[in-house]
Amino acid sequence: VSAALEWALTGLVLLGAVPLVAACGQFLIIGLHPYRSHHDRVGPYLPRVAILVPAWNEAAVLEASIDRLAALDYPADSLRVYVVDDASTDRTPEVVRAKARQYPGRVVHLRRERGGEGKAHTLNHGLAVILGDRWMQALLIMDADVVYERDALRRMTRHLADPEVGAVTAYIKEGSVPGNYLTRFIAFEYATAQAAQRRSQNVLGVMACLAGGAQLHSRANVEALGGRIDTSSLAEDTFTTFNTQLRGARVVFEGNAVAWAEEPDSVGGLWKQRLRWARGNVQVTSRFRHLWFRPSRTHGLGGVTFGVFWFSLFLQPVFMIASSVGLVVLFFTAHDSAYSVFRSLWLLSLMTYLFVTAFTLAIDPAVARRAWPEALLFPGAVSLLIMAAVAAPGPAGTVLSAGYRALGLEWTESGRAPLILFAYCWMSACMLVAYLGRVIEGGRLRPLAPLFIYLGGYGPLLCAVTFTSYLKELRGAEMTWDKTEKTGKVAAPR
Amino acid sequence: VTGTRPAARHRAPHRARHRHPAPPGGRSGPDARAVPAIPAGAPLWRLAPAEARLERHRDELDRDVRAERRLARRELGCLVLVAVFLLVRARYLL
Repeated sequence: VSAALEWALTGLVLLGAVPLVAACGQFLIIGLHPYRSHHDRVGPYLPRVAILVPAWNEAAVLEASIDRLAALDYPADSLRVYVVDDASTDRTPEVVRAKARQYPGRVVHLRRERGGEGKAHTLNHGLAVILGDRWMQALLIMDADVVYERDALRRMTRHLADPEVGAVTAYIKEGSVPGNYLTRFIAFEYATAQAAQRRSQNVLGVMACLAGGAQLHSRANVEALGGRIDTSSLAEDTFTTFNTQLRGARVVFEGNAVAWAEEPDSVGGLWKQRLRWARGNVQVTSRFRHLWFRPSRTHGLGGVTFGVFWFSLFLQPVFMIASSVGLVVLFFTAHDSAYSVFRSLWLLSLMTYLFVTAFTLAIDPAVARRAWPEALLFPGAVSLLIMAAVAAPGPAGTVLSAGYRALGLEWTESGRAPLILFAYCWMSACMLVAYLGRVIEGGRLRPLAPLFIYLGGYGPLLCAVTFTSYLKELRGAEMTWDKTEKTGKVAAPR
Repeated sequence: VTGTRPAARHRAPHRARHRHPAPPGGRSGPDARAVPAIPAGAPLWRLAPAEARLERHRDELDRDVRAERRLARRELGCLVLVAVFLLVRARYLL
């Protein structure tokens, strides 16, 4: 094989390192957060806050959410809760009316008779009412199941004392009790994606997304956005985040303001929710294509670093597949090079895994206590075994050759070939195995679904969702708002 | 008082002080209304006097800033962990 082709294939394999390097970079800059966290520009600011809660069949969760909002450590006369009932068919209207009687003047029931158009339309219905008078000085958009800790809102509003800040978001934690393996995976994922990565976005001065269940806007920002939420995509929160920053306002993450949410406890439910988010990200990437890698004085969305972080996640499945393809072709064309680049890639993967996992658990020790097995198995058990084999090739060779002999196989080059090919393919095959977890969950083998997720990995499951979102968007599949079912299992500390 | 941004609100802190009684648990005696003590755990918004509210805000902020610095130190710890692992690998596992 020509040297040029070998270099090209090596480059293809090393694309798999892009998400790893980006993850390391994101976590490394968190160390600068004490100096870039916006805490030096906050003030004791307690504006009149209108809380906007879109609700479609949320009777199971609304009562507790409204009670917790009423108990927030915040001036009672500066809080109003507007529940927009999106033509619910359950007891939602009765629950909201009862709460409006319990908290007169503080809970407002708004009803859409024609519903089912999605969250953005529901929010716009409420916004039209809220912006109708001058009472509201700040707007908190949340989900019906989200439960705020008592001091969370105050910790968020203090950032609005800086008029350059347009919006603030909080740390949403998974709070299902009793949870299961999947909610524990999500708990760890949220610690990584919010508590850690949003701090790094604070450092960069650019935010990828305001959490849909905890977005606080100044009135000026809501009005500058035209007083309405974008209804043309499945990622209305990311569109709002981008549009806020495009007009030069800052978006801040406040990691010490905590809200709790109920997340899906089945792979099917998670798949529906994440597919909606991932398709929304495809739409954002496409709609704002003129921004990427074009630095601007007014916002950070075009920054190179932010672009690398965004695309390393957005294109992660592509990188993983490219890496596997490159390795397999190299295996047949330049065997020694294949092994060398494979070892480097997985060693980097191991370093990233150790750093990211340990630091995430250190950031949120409560998640560490609750979900440490899922944190350790986030990339999947098979990937962990490959990392271990790469880290300690001597002991791994001894164990594997003993296993071969026990099976009556020969530990020769040709005997090892299938095993090596399997390892080379795994970077993309793990997505397939995790996806199988979703498939079998719907059948008679349902109890085996967790096994597939633990083997294939939760991270690869999310990559499989992202890959599916490409296909759905390419096919122009219909945009349906598949709402995640909430049952009121959140138990948050008071 | 609660609806204005801090810069505007601080222009007349003495007025706010005289509008609100001392919170429960505050000092007794003639200066009770002027310099109320801050009851532990009392909601910030109930401490109507602007100075007291500002002090409470600063305490809370100090805690959060210290928490952020603690995270930065933990990050160093994690980097040391990775370095130790690399050393162990180089010495014993290759």
